[in-house]
Amino acid sequence: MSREAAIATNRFGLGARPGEIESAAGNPRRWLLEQLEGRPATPAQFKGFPTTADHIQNYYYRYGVVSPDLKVLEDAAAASKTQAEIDKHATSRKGLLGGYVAWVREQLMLERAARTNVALTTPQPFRERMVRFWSNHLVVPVIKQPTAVLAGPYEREVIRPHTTGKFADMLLASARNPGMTYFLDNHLSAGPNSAYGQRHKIGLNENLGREILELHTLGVDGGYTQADVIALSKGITGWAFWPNAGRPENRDPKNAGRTPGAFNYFDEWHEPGPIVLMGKSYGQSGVAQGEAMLHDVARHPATARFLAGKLAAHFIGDDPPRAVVKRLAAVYLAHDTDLAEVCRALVEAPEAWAAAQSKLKQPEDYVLSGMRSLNLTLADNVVPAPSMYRFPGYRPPPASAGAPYSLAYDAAASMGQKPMGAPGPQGWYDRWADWSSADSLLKRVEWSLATATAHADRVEDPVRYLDQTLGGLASQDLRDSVKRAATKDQAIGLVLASPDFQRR
Amino acid sequence: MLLSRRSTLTGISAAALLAAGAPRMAFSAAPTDQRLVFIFLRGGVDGLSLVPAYGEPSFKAIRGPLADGDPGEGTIFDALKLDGMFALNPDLKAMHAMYQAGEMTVLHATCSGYRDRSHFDAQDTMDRGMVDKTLKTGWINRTLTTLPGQLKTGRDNYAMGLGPNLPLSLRGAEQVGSWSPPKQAQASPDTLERLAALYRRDTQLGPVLAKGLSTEQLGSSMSGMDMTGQGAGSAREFTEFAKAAATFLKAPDGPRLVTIDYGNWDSHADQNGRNNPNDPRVGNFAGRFPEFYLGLDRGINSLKTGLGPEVWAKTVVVLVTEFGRTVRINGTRGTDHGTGGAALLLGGAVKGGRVIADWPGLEDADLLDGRDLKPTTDVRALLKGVLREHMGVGDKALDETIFPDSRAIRPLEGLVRA
Repeated sequence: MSREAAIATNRFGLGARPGEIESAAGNPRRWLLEQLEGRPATPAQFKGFPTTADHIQNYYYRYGVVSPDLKVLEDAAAASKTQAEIDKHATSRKGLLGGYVAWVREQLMLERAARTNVALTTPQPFRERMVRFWSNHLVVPVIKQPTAVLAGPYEREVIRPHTTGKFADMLLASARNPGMTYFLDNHLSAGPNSAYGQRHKIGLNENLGREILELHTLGVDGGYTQADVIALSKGITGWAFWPNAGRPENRDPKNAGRTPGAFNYFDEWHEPGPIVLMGKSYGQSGVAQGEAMLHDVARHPATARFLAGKLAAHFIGDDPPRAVVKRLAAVYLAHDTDLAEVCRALVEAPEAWAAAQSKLKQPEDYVLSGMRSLNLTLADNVVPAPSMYRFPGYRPPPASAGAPYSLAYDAAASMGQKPMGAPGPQGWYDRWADWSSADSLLKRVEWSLATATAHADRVEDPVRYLDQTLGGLASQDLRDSVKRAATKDQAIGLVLASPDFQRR
Repeated sequence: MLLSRRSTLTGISAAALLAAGAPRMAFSAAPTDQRLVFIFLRGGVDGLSLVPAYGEPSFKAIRGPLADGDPGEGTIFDALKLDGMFALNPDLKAMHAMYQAGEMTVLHATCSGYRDRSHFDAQDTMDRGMVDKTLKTGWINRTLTTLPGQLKTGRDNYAMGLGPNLPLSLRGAEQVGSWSPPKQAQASPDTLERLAALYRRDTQLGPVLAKGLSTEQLGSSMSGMDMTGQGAGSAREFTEFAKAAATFLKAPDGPRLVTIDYGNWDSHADQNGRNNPNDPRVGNFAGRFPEFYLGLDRGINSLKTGLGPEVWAKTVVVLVTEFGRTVRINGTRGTDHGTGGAALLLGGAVKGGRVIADWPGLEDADLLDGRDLKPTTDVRALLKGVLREHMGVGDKALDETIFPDSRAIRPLEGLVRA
């Protein structure tokens, strides 16, 4: 049993499905690199899912159409003379609100289930790991409205197309995307000296500008100052979308020609004049100014170091050897931020193969790898039709759709990681100590034993199951323990719960 | 599958099987039975919303819409006054009552040694107890290494973090327990025994599993709560964690030091937004910050109620955040990352009813970098004072081990009732 094939599937992939270690065994490195070839395609599981533009338009509908209805109901309730009348209006209001809340919940469930199924079935698990890595790096989590429903399309539109492309392009797509804009408030930020800012006495919101420098590019030790945060924030003022829910100018006829739901630049929000960022003056006007800034920070040596260090820490070890970080950073700069080249350098790094089993799987990846080992997938759910955006008439998919989904979602959540729910713009932390609490480990053990009991019928021979799951990475202790197990489900439970399977 | 008291006591003893942690011994009276609760409000709480300096002549002018409800207009700030200068956020009514009962102290214009306005670095600095990044352990864990051994005798965990993941403050040489509600049904003792054998040789994960199995005995009575993630992320979760903390701290062999994380305080926009009927937004998506304050108040109140008068009298609760926020409102009715903010002490053991502040003022010239409340007291002075007076930690440990190179930062005195 090839140890390197097991490392390829486990450390670089999402955990081996039955037969995967055999497929990789011929040439584990080539097996990984072939996954990076070809144009990125949207996985079939997302067919028919809403786009960012669909959601922005829907959100606007909620403001523009449903809000006034609510106001009417509330006014009517206030003017009511009898309790019966008050109750009647309150019930209708509850229906309107409840329809939307139910719709958001179902939408998130469908997004998470589809994304989980992609990870469970993909023939390109290394590419999928990279998608998840970059989604976590330029994260739009589901922790804020309305970015909750924008997180799914964000990954499809911003991350997937650029996973083996240029980081500079991914960064620009991210900063222009309404999901990111909403999440880090840039649609609210106006240049203090812009026409709109002066007229309405509003100004800058530094949130996105700061996180681009601190978390997306240079890193907190990347040498920028508070003045640079303000400079970049000013450079991207006016980067928003249309319609922008809640803004009066949505009804301004001069905005009628804009593309609804997409990135839109609002010049009257943009800070006028040249801006100095990291010692360089940017004299462009309009959207070109911010684009030029992002073009440069993406190619900054500090960005190369930061991204290389984060990738190496994710795939090799919490404190990766300096040489490999330096090499990855050099490749990144030499190839004009090309991520496919960086991936190639990572796969070809001897360090990545030498330090096997030194990382603790994060909870979601742990659950995914357990399900993959048993060839489990979630039931396919009904894809929402566009008409369901009219949420007063919304009817949820059949109730049965939720049950299998909980196997993956609730499990990872109980171990401390809600899928797509990173706690903030920093994404999920990635060190051993971030995921190795006693409680989290106990939840992993509990889930393993319960999952093994529920799905033991999928395994014929536990020793073969161990070989197909961990291959050459299984310790002699675990091998003996599986051979001596009292029952099949005990054997499978021991594999899933074992220290060997917690690591990669 | 719940790894319960029954399975661990009948089938295996975690400590015996895994040979990790202190041996279980009969509970004996400890020299001190004090309780300490450390609550980290993550995301950067706006200190001037938590404890508004309403007595500043320029407060209303500087804060704009965020000074909504200042005194002299018959508003809520009058009801929640602390003294002639400071008031308490209007949603913290139960905590205000504690202040009036002499059970709460405010430290204002405080911050860690960190000045660069990154959440994550600032939180790590607070958790490490120092700016220097080379140290990878937390100040609470280092505190544990300095406590006399008999304090820890007879209990599986002297300290415990609530939530599935341990915060950095608790990481280090001492094994610390963590807890979140159990989710599944019973595991067979035989399977657990075999599994424990597999973990015995794993020096990284073995001790962690042992800790988990021992903690589960205490937590098994508290199932049914629905919460997950990085500590509490919502008002509801925080209240549930506070209730669980009370249960743990009350148990005779339970932990004596508990940490709770309560996150999402990053109020860049619409900081004062409430769910008012005129707000065009639908549902509960607007105005989560008032909700967060209400949740804080409910949680602290649940903790006090849950502990009961006898244990509450031995308790100090410390609330901190990683930094304050800009003094002036930003372009979007919120505040951006700043520096100085407020910290609170609560509990029956607190000698309270006062605001400690070397107040820097709010005029332009008073502000740090022209934007932030200038920190005048290092938050370590508060933490050191609590550890010294409440937990009996010595100066040498405080200055060198727990907060290295901090001799110049003197502990605040008179924080705890004699």
